[in-house]
Parts: sequence; C-alpha cells; structure tokens
Amino acid sequence: MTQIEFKNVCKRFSEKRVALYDVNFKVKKGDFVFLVGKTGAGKTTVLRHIYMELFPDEGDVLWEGISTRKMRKSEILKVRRKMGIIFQDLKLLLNRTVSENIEFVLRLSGEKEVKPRIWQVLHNVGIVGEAQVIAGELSRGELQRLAVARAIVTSPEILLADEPFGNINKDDAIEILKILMNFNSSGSTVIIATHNVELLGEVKKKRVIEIDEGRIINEY
Amino acid sequence: MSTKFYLNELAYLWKRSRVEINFLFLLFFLSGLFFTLYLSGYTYLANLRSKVYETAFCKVFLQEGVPDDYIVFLKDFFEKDPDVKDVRFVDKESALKEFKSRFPRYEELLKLFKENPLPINFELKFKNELLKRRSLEEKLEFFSQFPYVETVQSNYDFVLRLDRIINTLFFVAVFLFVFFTVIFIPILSSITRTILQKEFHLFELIELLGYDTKKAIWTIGIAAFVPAFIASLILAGITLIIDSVAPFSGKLLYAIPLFILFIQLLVLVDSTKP
Repeated sequence: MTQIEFKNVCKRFSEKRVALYDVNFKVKKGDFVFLVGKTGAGKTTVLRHIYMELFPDEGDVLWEGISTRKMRKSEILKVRRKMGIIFQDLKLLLNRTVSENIEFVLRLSGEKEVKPRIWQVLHNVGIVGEAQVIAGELSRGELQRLAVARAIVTSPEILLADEPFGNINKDDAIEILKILMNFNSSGSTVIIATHNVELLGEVKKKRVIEIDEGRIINEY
Repeated sequence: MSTKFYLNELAYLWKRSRVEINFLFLLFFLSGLFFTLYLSGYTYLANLRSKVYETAFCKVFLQEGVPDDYIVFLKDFFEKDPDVKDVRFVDKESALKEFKSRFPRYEELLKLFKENPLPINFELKFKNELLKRRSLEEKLEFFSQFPYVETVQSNYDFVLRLDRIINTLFFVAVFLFVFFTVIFIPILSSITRTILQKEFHLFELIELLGYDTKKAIWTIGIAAFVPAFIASLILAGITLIIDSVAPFSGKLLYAIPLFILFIQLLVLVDSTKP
C-alpha cells in the first residue's frame, strides 16, 4: 500500500532558489528509505513536505492517496499524530529532564500509563540511566537517542528522521540506525534523510533515493 | 489531549518563571494597595467634606429697625440666588432660643440686657459649586454691602481647607495614576513577554507533533494572568474590609482590582503576538 507519493513536486523558495524540481517517488508502508544527498540538496525540504510544514508550488504530495494541499488544518494535525519526527535541530526541551521530554509527548497524546512507557522507550534507546538528567547536560549522541525515543514512544505509523547521525561518532550512529531498523521491523515506515552514505551498507533491505540540487538523480 | 498535560505545563511555567511571576504579583499588589489606601483616604476626606458642608452655614446679620418689606425682599433675593441651597430666616425670638440652646452657660449674660440683643439674621447654606475660596469670599463681600446688613459671618473655613486638601490629593492622584500607567505598561509588557517567550517554542513543537496549540496558548496565558488575578483577589478582600468598617462607601475602590485585571488582559493579548 502506497503511504506517500510525490507527483511532479516543485518547490521554489524564491525566483532563483528552486528547492525541489519535478520530484517523483513512492513510499510503501513498511519501507526503509534513505534520502541521501549533499547538504542543501533538498532532503529536509522533502521531509517538510511529508509532515506538511511545506506544500508544493507545483505537483502533489499524497498521503495515503489524499493530496496534502487539500487537507484542512485539523486533518493535517491528525496525520502528523501518525508520524514520529526526529528534527534536524532535535527540538528537545533542554531545560527538562530526559523522562520529562518523553512525558511531554505522552501527556500531550493523552496517554495514561506514562511511567512504564517512558522506562521502556529509554531502555530501548539505551539511555535509561539518564532518565533524570536534564537534557541540556547530555552529549550529542545521547541527545540523538532522546530525539529517537521521543519520536517512537507513541508507536507512529511512519518515522521521519532528518540527519539523525549528524555530529555523532560512527558507533553511536550505528546504534541509532539499529534502533530505527528495529522500529521498522515492527511494520512502521522509516524515512531517513542523511548525507552520511557510509551507513547505507548496514541496512540490507532498504530503498535509497539520491537527491542533488532538488532533483532525484538516482533511486534503487 | 490530557488535562494533566496542561496542568503539568502550568506547573513548569510557574517553576521556570517564578522570579518574573513573583515580581508581577508584587508589582500589582503593592501598587494596587497604594492606590486602594490612597483612594480610601481621598474618599474619607471627600465624605467628611460633604458632612461638614452639610452643617456649615453663612449668617447675614441685619441691623436693628430693618423694614419688614426689605426682609421679604432679601429672603426672595437669597432664594433666587443660584449658589444658595437653603435659606432660613431667624427672627429675634428664634435667635434667642438658638443662643440658649447652643450656649446654655452664657444664658445669664443675656439678663444684663433690657431687650433681646440678638440681631435678626438669615442663615444661608451654599451649594457645592461655591466651594472656591475666592467665589465664597466674593459672595460674602457682596452680601455685606447690602443696605441694613450689619455683618456677614460664615463657618466655611474648615470645609474650604478640606476642599483644598482634597483637590490637591486629586491632582496628585491623577499625576501618580498617569505616571504609574505610563511606567507600568512597558514593564508589565516586558515581564509578560519574557514569561511567554520562554514558551513560544512549545507552540511550534506541539503543532509539529500534531496537536492544536489553542489550549497551550490558553494555559500559558492563564499562568501569566494568575499574578494579576491573585493580587486583585487580595485587593478586593481588603476593599471589602474597608467597605464594611469605613464610614463611607468603598464601592469605588473595587475599580482598582478591576483595572489591574483589565490592564493585564490587554498586555497579555498584546504579548501573545510572537
């Protein structure tokens, strides 16, 4: 079943700056997709179209067959609740503890059993020992894990990760990748935007979409 | 969305912005208390002035042998005077009775005279509009120049002094109020913005996570509104006490907590604009 479809998507931020040019691809439910390309290639713009922070100037982005441009705000919010997002700038609450960061999302979603869920997800990402540490005091690798934990704690249908391996060492990056692969094995879709192509070999069953200057130049 | 989430966020905001929130509360409470006490003093004096004014009067003493038709003319004249509220003619007999009742100790002195020495007079009460020293003096001077008028006396001095104090207090209050308001609004706005801006990033995050931000904005708005609300509540309590024990109506004092709520609401609405 096609979950996301980009049909001839064009996006211009200004006359001179074309972010996406005639982008076409499909993502099926349960896919593990890498969006690769240099910095500024348009990977983040693609993700922002998926979580509907941006809308195409031309063409269409379809979420389960429905054009995102035709969705009302309440529908957009409803779809976003099915997503887990790891933002490039993480958007963590740095003045709160690790567990409070997770609790924020769980409480927001109206979850009642909060404590066991927090413990479980922190255990899964390997930072259960840091539960009571203020997020601002964590290392970059730990922050990435926390961002992953926050994104997956509500068991979303799709996980969008924008540069989840940025500024961390290879071991940490592999650990995070394993967490994402594990999450994917439960049937959820994972889309990772990264410029780090070294890690692609770690995943056997995957799709790779290569972007350069807003165009898809390779797909396999 | 869970109510507990918003209660948690409320608690976080108070914890994180306790310095600003305490400062806001103190600012509202102390300035409100100052104006409540000031306005109480002002209302008390204004009330006292009204009471004293009710008992104050002016006496126009007439010479012996004034013709009756002239007395009728004067009475008519005083009654038509727009500044005069009440006119009472006191004949010699009434003047004697009044003297005896007011000064019983000196009653014996009257026996030294063969005839009743007390002059006939008009007792006049003036309207509030005449409460200006110069206009009152002009009026008394004008009456004293009438034919057959022996002398004109009044006991409006105290009320005039009170009036001057009240007028001064009023102008000082207006100045202080304008001064406080002009100084207050930027301070309030700045503190409220500081409180809210710490939370603006939450709105973006909440929306990106797929939830409506309206309730979050309300929560943060309520949190920033609480200091003004508590200060107003305490001030309303103080006003209630003043109203029940003071010899004047303290209804006007309730305007202060209401004004505090109003001004904080305005500042809050303005500050929620990112």
